[in-house]
Amino acid sequence: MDLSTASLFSLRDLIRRKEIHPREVVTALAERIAARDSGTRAFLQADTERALAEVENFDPETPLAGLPIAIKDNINVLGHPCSCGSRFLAGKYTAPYDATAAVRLRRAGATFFGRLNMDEFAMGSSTENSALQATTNPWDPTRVPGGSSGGSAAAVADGTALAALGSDTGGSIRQPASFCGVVGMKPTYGRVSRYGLVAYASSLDQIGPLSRTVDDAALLLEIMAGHDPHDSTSAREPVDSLVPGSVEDLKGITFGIPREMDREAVAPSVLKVFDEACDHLRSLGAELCDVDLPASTHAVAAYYVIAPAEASTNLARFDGVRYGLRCESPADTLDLHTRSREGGFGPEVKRRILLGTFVLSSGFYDAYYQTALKVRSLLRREYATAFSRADFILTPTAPEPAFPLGDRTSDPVSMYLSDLFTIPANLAGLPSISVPAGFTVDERPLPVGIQITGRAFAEASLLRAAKAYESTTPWHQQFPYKED
Amino acid sequence: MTRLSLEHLAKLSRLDLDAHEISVFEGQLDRVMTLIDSIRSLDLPEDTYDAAPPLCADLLRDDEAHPGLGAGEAIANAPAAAREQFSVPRVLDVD
Repeated sequence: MDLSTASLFSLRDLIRRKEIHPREVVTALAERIAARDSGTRAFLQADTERALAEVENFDPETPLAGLPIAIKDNINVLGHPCSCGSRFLAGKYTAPYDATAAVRLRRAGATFFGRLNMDEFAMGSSTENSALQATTNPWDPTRVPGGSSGGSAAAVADGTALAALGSDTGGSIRQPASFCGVVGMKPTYGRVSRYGLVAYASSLDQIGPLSRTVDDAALLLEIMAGHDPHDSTSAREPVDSLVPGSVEDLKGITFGIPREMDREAVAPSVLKVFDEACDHLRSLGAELCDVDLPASTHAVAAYYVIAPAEASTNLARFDGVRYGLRCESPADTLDLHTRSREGGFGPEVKRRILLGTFVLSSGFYDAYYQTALKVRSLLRREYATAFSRADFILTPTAPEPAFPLGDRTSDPVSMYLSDLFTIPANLAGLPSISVPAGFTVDERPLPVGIQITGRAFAEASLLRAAKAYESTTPWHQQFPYKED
Repeated sequence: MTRLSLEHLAKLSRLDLDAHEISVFEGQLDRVMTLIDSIRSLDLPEDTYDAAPPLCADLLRDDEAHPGLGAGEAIANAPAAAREQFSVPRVLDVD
């Protein structure tokens, strides 16, 4: 078995049987990063010595038994750098505390190995907005890995991370998971504490896993989930056992497909995969029906009011005083704030701050922000009605496969529309998962994912449905590299 | 979005945009405005908005003191600090 490309469960079994030591897994990953990441550039940092030192104290009986997990670079892990893909923080900020997700993973036996590239402050859908480096798609190095958790998805797909954490505000876990052919899950809003996640849009952000299998995603989520007094929006809902076990059919389960899903807006290669996935779900005993989500047609517009509004507020903390970049010789406080921010933020972050400032400004607040909040409330109600007909909502994860590098960097709107199908679940706060569902038929086939969205806090049933699909299809066993 | 309004927004946002950025952002933000303008025409009644937090009940934690970051840890990432305090440009003139 190649230790750098196996699942968490299979490696944990080997560790518990004393057939391998997690030190060997760290070493195998470090070798693979050295061999492959100069091309993919998913990692901003991978401190092998630190990981090897950490792993010496591992406990084989913990759920992760010392296994290394890589982390998106906007989640604080004590003593690790945390740049958020920004010049503002790169080389200037070391996390002084652990995010709650990191505390729980550490307690469960995780070793933290690797900080992963991302769009600056999680704003983007291609990872090209990282101020530090461009990550490429392991399936085709001329294409993007998706974003904003593009480093996380690319590393898992490339076999340089066993599993990784990402964050999802409008699709930033699921869309790159689809582009890179891995599993990516956004939990219900409030399911995983946001404490220690650098805030982009606080009413939408969630930490979640990216992995090779549904079981691995479930394991990580089960460890991280649960109420946290440090996050006032974390929910007190009990956390069920989430790892699905064996699921082979979907009898009695109904998947709703939104009538508003514009097939014209979906690439033919993605539609083909989606339609085949629908046929496969039927063959497992599931029923498919139409559901109505009319407000979803306004979801992207509402998102690009709400998220920038929250971002403009959240990013006010980057002022050159407490951490990060500080301009040279500021004349006064205003000059300090203004020039530090101008020098530290990249174009997409500036665009969203400007947009957020605009929609919150006097005279426009009601027209834009209040209306967007109404759209959001309406969408939540429509989902509630849809779930009275269907157990899950099914769409493609993204309307297209991975697009070429540089294709959309000058046209923000075309980039924003990449999250057409993922944004509604964020606005409604619902759990949603992308699972590999096939490939385009291009000369260089690209992975395509389907997205399954469930009721709030129904992660266990959502993961079971995803597992039934995964365990009866071959797509999660395809790799962009030749297996050694 | 006009150049004038963009310059004003930049000032409110504490951003010191140069002429090139303003020129590029003007066109890009115009296209974004076209996207988000689609919701302005929606005639949604006031009671559409549900202000209650949708999924979480208890917003406040117990009022108990817990250890936090010490001054040294809090100041460790500061770009400029002195005597365990953040340094900022002088605000008041004091003789």
